[in-house]
Amino acid sequence: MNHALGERLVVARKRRRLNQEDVAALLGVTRVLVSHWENGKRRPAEHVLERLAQIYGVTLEELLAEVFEPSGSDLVELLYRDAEGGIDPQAHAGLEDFVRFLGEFAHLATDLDEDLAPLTQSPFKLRPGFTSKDDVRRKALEVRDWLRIGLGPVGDLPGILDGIGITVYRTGLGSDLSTGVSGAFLQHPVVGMSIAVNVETTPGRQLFTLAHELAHALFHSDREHHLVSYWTRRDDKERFADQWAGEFLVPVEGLRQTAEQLGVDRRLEAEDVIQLQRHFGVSYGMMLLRLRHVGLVNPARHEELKRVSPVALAAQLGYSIAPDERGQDPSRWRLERFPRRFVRLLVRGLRERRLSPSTAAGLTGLTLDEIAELVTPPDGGDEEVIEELREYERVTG
Amino acid sequence: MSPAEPDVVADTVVVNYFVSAGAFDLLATLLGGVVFVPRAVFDPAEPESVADAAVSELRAGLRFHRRRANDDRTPLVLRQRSERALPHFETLPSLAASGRLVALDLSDDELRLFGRLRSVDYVRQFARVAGLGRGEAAALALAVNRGYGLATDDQDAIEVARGVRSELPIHRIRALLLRAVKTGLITKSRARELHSAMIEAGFWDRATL
Repeated sequence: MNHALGERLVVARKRRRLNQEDVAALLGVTRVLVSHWENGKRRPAEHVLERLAQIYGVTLEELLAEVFEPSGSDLVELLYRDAEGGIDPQAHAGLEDFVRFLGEFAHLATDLDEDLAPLTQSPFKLRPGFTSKDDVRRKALEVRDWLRIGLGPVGDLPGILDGIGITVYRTGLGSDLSTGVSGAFLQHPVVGMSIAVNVETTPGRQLFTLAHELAHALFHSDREHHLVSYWTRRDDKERFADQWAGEFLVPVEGLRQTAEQLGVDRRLEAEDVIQLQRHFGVSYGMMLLRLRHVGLVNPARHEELKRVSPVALAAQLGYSIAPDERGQDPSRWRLERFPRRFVRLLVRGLRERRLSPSTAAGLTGLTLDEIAELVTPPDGGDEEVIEELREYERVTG
Repeated sequence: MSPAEPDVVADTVVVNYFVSAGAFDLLATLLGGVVFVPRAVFDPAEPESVADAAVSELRAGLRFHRRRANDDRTPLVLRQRSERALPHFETLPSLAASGRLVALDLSDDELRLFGRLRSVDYVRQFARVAGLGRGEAAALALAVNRGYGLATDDQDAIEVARGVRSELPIHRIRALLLRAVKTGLITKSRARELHSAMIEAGFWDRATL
């Protein structure tokens, strides 16, 4: 039987065009161990076998059946086809994870009778021929108006999108930008417009990816129900989404206003770029491009400013540096990976005793202790916060 | 020395909270000297390098507390909770090495049942809204197939266990603590202390002993 399981593991792996090294890297084990599983010398533990099934896009039952007939997920297949096989195994596994999460979110919402109020149709249209730079800028401002975020920083964009029914899920999609995926858009039959963002990139890059996928959701979803964004992809839709993301995150007028308010009307120094970059929450590189676009930086100065180490300079200037700016660690992403509506649904299910902490842990991959804390936060608040609240009560009577 | 045939298999919840309260030895004594678990609960054979997505549940807990106890960006109250839990979780590998925590392998039939118990499509018949946790599903598959009792305090696992095999003996945390008092292993006040420590660690039980 072990031999038969091993053979199925080989078939399932090859079906996903993965080699033993790929699988070993995804699981954090040696290639020899993967080989032992496949030749029947050893058998993976139940939770490892389940993870293998997930990586291979099959169910555990399919992997354990006498006759191996994988059904696969149509949605994952669509995403794979869209990526044209040009992505690495980590990105494959991340896309599987994205689609699996959406399925679980849909199941949970249905079973808990929760209306997700998903956005299924964009209120915007992109007519053929209207894709000049001015058109892109106009479209970005229209969306800002719709979201009521004025001309300033976009703030908590994942939260804003969650509020209008667009699901944002963060997952590992590969750390090598040349073979990894930065993000993906999928129109899910129950969850509606859904976006995956690669957590193995910098915070600035993640925000750009989110805006880029939002462009696909709002302007391409009438014809395309799924799109995978990767480094080497260069077509009209990608170019539009890139330009739109830049205009949306740092609108020209907003940038000019802010630069004027900050007194940045002379020769720009790296410190000024850092200040503007931090204000808008985007990457240093993107801010440089936007400044060049609006004519506040000329090409020669752009080249000089490119040589700056932005994180080191920001730290010197007293800005707090997020952990992901120094180096990405996907395991650091815990509950924040999930959309707020999902977290609220999870908490509701737990409080109403419709699902138990272990079940919630199994659903999210979080530990039992994290789930327990989600429902009953530990007593003993922050002394400074308590004192502040007392003071507020004194002041307000 | 090969361990005796188990009477009871434990899931993640029970081991997690006895370990958090520093009372693993008591649990082992109550369960016949050895705590038997499926590998999904704790796998002594898994390498340190194993990815988070493929790690056993108690080792995931160990990693979580290690990370949080040393993260100065974590709010103090949460960091202190992890600092308290960490020394207990660090004992897991040595408990396994000493033979007091033993991991069991699932047979093919048990693996299939594990797969079903993890699926919402299967557990919906027991009015559950999501598949059982990995440790609970694996422990229940072992208990059902081999006729063991199940040490669990997970409501979903209990509901499904009753649906799959109504006569399956279930050992909840409070019942285990009460048995420890009745058999003279601990005093009633010590049982209350342990129960409070488990609740402090996150155990979801507001009942008093």
